[in-house]
Amino acid sequence: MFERGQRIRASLIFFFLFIFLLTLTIRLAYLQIIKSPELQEKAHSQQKRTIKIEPQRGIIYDRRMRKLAVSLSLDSLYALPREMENKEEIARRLSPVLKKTPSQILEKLNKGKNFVWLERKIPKDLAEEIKGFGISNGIGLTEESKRLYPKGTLACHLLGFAGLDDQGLEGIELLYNQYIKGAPGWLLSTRDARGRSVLSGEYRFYPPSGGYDTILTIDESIQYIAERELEKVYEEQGARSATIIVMDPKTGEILALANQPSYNLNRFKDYPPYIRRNRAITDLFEPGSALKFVTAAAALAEDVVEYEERFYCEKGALRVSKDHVVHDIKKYEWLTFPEVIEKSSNIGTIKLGQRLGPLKLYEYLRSFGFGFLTGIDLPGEVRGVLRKPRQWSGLSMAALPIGQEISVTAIQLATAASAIANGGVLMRPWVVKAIISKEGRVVKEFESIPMRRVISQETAYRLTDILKGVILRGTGTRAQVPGYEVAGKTGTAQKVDPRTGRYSQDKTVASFLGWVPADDPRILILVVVDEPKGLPYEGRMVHYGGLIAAPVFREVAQRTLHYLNVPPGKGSAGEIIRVSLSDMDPKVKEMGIEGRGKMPDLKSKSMRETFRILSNYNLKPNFIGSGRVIKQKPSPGVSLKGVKECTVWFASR
Amino acid sequence: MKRISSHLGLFLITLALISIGIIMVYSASAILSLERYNDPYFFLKRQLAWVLLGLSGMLIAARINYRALPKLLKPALFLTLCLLIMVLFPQFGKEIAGARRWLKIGDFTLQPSELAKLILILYMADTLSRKKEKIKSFAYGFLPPLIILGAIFILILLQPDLGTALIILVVILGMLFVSGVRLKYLFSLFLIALPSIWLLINKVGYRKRRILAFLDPWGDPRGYGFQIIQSLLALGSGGIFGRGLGEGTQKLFYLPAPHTDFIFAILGEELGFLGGIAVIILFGAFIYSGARIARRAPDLFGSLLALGITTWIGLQAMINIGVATGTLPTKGIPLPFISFGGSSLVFSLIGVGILLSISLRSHRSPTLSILRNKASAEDGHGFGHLRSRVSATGRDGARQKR
Repeated sequence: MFERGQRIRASLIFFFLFIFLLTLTIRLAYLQIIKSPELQEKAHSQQKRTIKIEPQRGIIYDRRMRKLAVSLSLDSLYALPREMENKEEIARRLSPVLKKTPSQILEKLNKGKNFVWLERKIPKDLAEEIKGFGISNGIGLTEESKRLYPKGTLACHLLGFAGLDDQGLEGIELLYNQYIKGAPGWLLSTRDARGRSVLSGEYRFYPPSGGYDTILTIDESIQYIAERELEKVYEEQGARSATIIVMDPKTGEILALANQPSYNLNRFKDYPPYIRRNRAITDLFEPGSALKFVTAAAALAEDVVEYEERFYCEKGALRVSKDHVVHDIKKYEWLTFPEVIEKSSNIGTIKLGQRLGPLKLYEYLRSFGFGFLTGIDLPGEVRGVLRKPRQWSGLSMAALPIGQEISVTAIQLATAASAIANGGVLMRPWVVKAIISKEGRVVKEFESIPMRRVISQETAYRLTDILKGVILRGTGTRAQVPGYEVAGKTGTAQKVDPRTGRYSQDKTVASFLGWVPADDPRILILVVVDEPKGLPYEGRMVHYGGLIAAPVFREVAQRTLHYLNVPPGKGSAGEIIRVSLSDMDPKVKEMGIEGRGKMPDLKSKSMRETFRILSNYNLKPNFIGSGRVIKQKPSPGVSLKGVKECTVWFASR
Repeated sequence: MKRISSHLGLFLITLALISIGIIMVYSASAILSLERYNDPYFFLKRQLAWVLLGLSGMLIAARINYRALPKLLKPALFLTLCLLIMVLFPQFGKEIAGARRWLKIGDFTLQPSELAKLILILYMADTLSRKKEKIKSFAYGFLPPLIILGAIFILILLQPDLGTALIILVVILGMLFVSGVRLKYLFSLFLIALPSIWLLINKVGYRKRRILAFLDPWGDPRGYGFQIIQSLLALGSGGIFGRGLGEGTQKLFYLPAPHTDFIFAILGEELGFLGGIAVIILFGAFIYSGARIARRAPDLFGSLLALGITTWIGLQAMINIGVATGTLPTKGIPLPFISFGGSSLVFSLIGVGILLSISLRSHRSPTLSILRNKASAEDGHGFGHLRSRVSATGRDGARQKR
């Protein structure tokens, strides 16, 4: 029984108690509802002692299953400082093995972390020695894999590398990291604060799923050939950099890709990033004359030029504006269309471009993939610079047809050239053929991806014929491969001097692109040498692509063709065989005359041969498939009276 | 719906809390006791024994007319002081973690400070209700209880057990405040206590570090912040619905004293926010019932006694929960009815028994006849509406004043 005043004061006391309760309720709600996820995470990381079991990174093979990157498994020593009873003692005992002073080890242990690596990837013998200690509380060894590149610098820019944490950092190792790395395994056990497994606690084992093996389109031997020749020219020419790409133009498969300077993958840390950059896809350059094939292709495709048409080449100097004169290397007067390309006349090509007009030129450049990513499966590709016609200057039509005012990557150029080589289809370049599991199961298989038809087959063949002339009697004679017919184009692009903003005379990008055998290409090679010091030619130092890059092509092509067992054929270097629609193969002509009224037998003919044969008949051909003829309609010998069309089926062997 | 009578409500609330306690003590201690005593039921068995003892004590206390209690007060106070002195000596006192708080009695231990709380509340209620007017004077009213309070306070501090000492101080100050001690006395007492508490905290290194750890537990996660952090992690892991009974992992040696001082954290982990809020609501209901009993008590002694017991248990519960939720600095204080611990449980239940006794003597209810002493009939308070009771109390007070 309270008095009035006491009652009020008692109520006050109870009121305060309820306020206190309310505070606690709010606090509890804050902790258990709002902060819950965060606290849960912290509790989880403390309770779940997770022992990570590293997967081994998959092997990277070349296309013939030769190992380019492998993994070794090595032990790493870790410590759980919280569970250590005598840190000093452990530090003292480990000191001689780890070649560190006890205080260095102690410093690591006293960082206040739950887990510290004492030494990563210890050699086997040392690991054995540590195991011999009878590992005490709080330290342990866990297997980690160490990446090893048995071939050192080979394909360094392609492969990239994986860092200490087995994380792919560049190249294929980076792009396909999720496959190569595999998933780590986990040994999860709920542990008490003293670090012992709790019997009633959870205990789960998730085995690591091994990294998948990767099979590249790269051929180690071709890569080796390409790298050796590239290094030679890079060093002889004291070039700033050099790039070579060898690809199968029919499929878009990259057979070899290399840059100079290169680096040893096993010591990737010792090299600065500019050396590790894959210049073939990340660096831009003005292609210069090498790009003239696009202008020629567009002109042919758009039918703005007659094959034997002559261009007046202004005796080597064409004034395109008040203060801009385009020069040719020699003072040409009249050149046929093929000669313009063969001799790489700037003036002739500009005139060709003018016939196309900016929109058509732009359309073809785009269509050939300039200004776009090729989509190669390597990280870091850039798209290059191709401005829209409305951004062009008055001089652009005197620049773009000859490969100026456009910046491309080597891979773009090689891919575009492949489209001519393979008969008109732009392929996506690619470097990874398949990803397979350790058991040999195919996890992922890649196929060649035709992006689009750029020019008709006919146009491609006609252009190829012209580009054969480049090798036979034009600027690319040094690219001739004895016994094989080569088609190609040289490029000598003056670099813009950043100081003056004008084209420099002695700083160039010398390039050569070509494919062989010209009519049924097995390989397409692009060689780019940036800032070669030049070679003496006719009494002066020149930087011509035909002089510097073409011989690299020849060496690489020759060795590669031998390696690939490509039978020699179709015109040895000395012999001039021109095969074109206007200059018909006499044999074919004969056949055509003989059997004009009857369907010829096309069996096992190549597409190109078929095309040639059929061009003598008044038939509209439908081609299905690719490779060699397996079937035809009408059948051989059938009268062609009233027949307007024929269908031919092809298949690769 | 018929209003649940105070004592029935209080009884049920207490039973609910004890039941939760039994379950949680088992859940929190099973692994610990398996490891320590090779018997997962070690703490459960003891808790059950204490619960039986405590419930018996509660029933006995409920049956005894609380007004008879002052007769036992002098020997009880003497006994309490003796025990508090004895516990300081290594011959009798059992030292755990640097503090001597427990008396060894055979296999069992007794915590005299738990007894001291109850006895001191009884003493204060008795003194204050008898002195009435005199309480307003310093020398006769205020000083004598202050000396007793001071002696017990200091003896408990010597153990050392700052938490219990502070709870006693606050509860007694509350009782003094309610009974009408002049505010200036209370205020000056507070002013005297303030620097000494500050000294007690600052002089003793671990207390200072505990306070610092309370302010920033993550600043010292391996040391003094450890308990707080582990408690917060337990609560946070529980979320709204909890991980399920027995599924908590923080009790696996992360959280020290999972079955005693930090049982609320384990409860929050396993039963979640819903479980925690249930416990808070139960204590809220307990305080509410206690307040009702205090208000309806037939005399000032009963009212003050009920107030003292209710604030003691309520405050202790809140401080415990406050520590577990990191709202208050770490203090080793058990959660009434729930934490493992014989003395605390038994004396708390005896306290509840006294509350029931007060309630029974102010308010008849046929539902719990076993608790009622036949003598209670003489109390002469029938059923009545709260409002009329309040006015009656007011009148009584007025009459007494005159």
